[in-house]
Amino acid sequence: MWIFGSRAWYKFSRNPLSVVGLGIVVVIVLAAAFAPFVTPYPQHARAFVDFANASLAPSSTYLLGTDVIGRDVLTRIIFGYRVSLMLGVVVLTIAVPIGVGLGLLAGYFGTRTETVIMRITDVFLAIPPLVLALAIMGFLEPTLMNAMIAVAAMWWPWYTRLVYNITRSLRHEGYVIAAEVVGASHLHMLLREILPNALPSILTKMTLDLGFVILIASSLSFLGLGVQPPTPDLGSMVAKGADYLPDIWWFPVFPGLAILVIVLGFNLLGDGLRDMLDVDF
Amino acid sequence: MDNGAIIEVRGLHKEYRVKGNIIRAVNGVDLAVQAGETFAIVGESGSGKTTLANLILGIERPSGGEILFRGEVLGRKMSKDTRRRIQVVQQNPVSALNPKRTIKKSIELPVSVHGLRPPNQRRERVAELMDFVGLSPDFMDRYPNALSGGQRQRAALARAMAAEPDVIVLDEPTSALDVSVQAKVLALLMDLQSKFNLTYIFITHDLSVVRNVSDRIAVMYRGRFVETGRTEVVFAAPRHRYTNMLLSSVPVVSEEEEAVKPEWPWEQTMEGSDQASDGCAFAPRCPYAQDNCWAAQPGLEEVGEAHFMACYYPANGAADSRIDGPPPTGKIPTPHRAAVD
Repeated sequence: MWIFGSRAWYKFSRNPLSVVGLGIVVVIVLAAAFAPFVTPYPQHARAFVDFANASLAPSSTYLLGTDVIGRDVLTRIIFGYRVSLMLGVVVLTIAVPIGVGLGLLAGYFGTRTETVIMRITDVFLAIPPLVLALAIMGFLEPTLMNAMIAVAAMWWPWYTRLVYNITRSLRHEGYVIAAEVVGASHLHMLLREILPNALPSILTKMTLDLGFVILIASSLSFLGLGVQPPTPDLGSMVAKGADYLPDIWWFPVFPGLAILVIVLGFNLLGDGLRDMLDVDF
Repeated sequence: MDNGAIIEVRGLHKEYRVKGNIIRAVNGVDLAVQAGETFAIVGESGSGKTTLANLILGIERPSGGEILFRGEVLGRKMSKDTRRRIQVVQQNPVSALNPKRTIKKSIELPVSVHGLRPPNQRRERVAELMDFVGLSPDFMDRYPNALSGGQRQRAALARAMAAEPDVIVLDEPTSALDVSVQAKVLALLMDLQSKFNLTYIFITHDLSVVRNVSDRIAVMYRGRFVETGRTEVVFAAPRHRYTNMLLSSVPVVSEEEEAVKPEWPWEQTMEGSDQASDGCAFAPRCPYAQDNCWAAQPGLEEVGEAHFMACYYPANGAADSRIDGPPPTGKIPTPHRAAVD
């Protein structure tokens, strides 16, 4: 394929771990997207009880064993990925535009706009993310939607700071000044001159962040504040399964490993993108 | 000064506050640029020439004084039409063009912002502009990384030309280019000037460039003009000691050129250039400085036809009439620093 001969691919694949990351992410995304077709027991993803086959160790019938009410762990992990990925994407879809928009405004206009936006950002950055999410979840109903709002609310400041710094340095680039001298509108300056040049950094950070968002969301679920049963979720599977350690070890350990693998995958992929797009972090 | 000036600057000041200190980047500049001429502003790094350019372009706001375009004071916000009429070509060809936009999009920007052509004629217009600056239209849909430094400066010039300006501020337009490319770009600039009756404000530290292209020259030192005049007059008989020092530092290749170069008896040093002085800012570096140089800033005085300079003990002529006392001997005096110790 043409892509494998390109300079971009060369830069990306110089570190073989990037390719491993890309492989992990592609396999997980495809499996999650086609979960009803690739999982052995898709009906186990919903409310389902089969006490006859409960707590079975990994075997050829149940590759990663079954949980305490007889549901296939592999099936629930793949459906769990589905929820995690969707959650990560939705969180970033909310957080990134807000963060990027505020960062552009602060960096471009400076003065009072900058002071107000950046001080608010600093306040949010000063609070540990999980604590803030817990606080938000404390007075909202523990639903999937609210979990996403809570995580998004603590994620945008990182993008504000990233884009603010990029905008500040691009502000004095020749082409930005030239466009200003020409009399281009602020909207043109922000969206056509500055944003496209900040995009590689934003995309790289988004990739790296997908892993972290999934991790935080799993933590919330682990604490019982995120995804609610019977919807399969990696964090709540680990939490439930932990009660049955060490006897039914496969119930918590495989979902835990699943979290590890997806976070690792996104991190490696993000590192590869960073090399490819020549972004400094 | 002549009332036909296209750009006039009166008592311009620009101050920056840096960690409690006040930096006077532009410290009382007056100038009048006539339509169709090339007005060069020469000075070393940090002399305030780029700040002066930014003030004229309206990128920065003056701390004091005013700028007039065709006799009209430019206010807090320039009118869209005035904006269009004053354009810029900057020093660094690498950052001159947005790496994420095609050459066509970059050059087209002023045309679309000001609606100078209907959309269906813009591509044609860009091709025409590229032709003016000697760029092949094949580059139109390429990105800046496909262009060399000289080609990028040509594209930047095409973008400035696209606004159909009256004045172009050239901020060291050739100093980042190879010497052979420099000459070509300078020739192109001169060609465009005569074709389109452009006025240039040419900012540079490179005197050899100025000599060939400018009609008038202003030598800037630490935020002030220390000497202004017609280029050939200033080059032939520089009066201010700083102008002298600059001219004596131009590298030359032939013995004849070396012979006509002004002499500079003292080591050329930046030492003391940041010393504060109530008097002439150049005094700490000037071997001819006397007590009164440290005491009060000499004002610009007319010393010839349209030739102004601000020095108590100038070169190439009698001492300033404002000073009583012996003219400098011309020998290397001991540096006179008592006033600052």
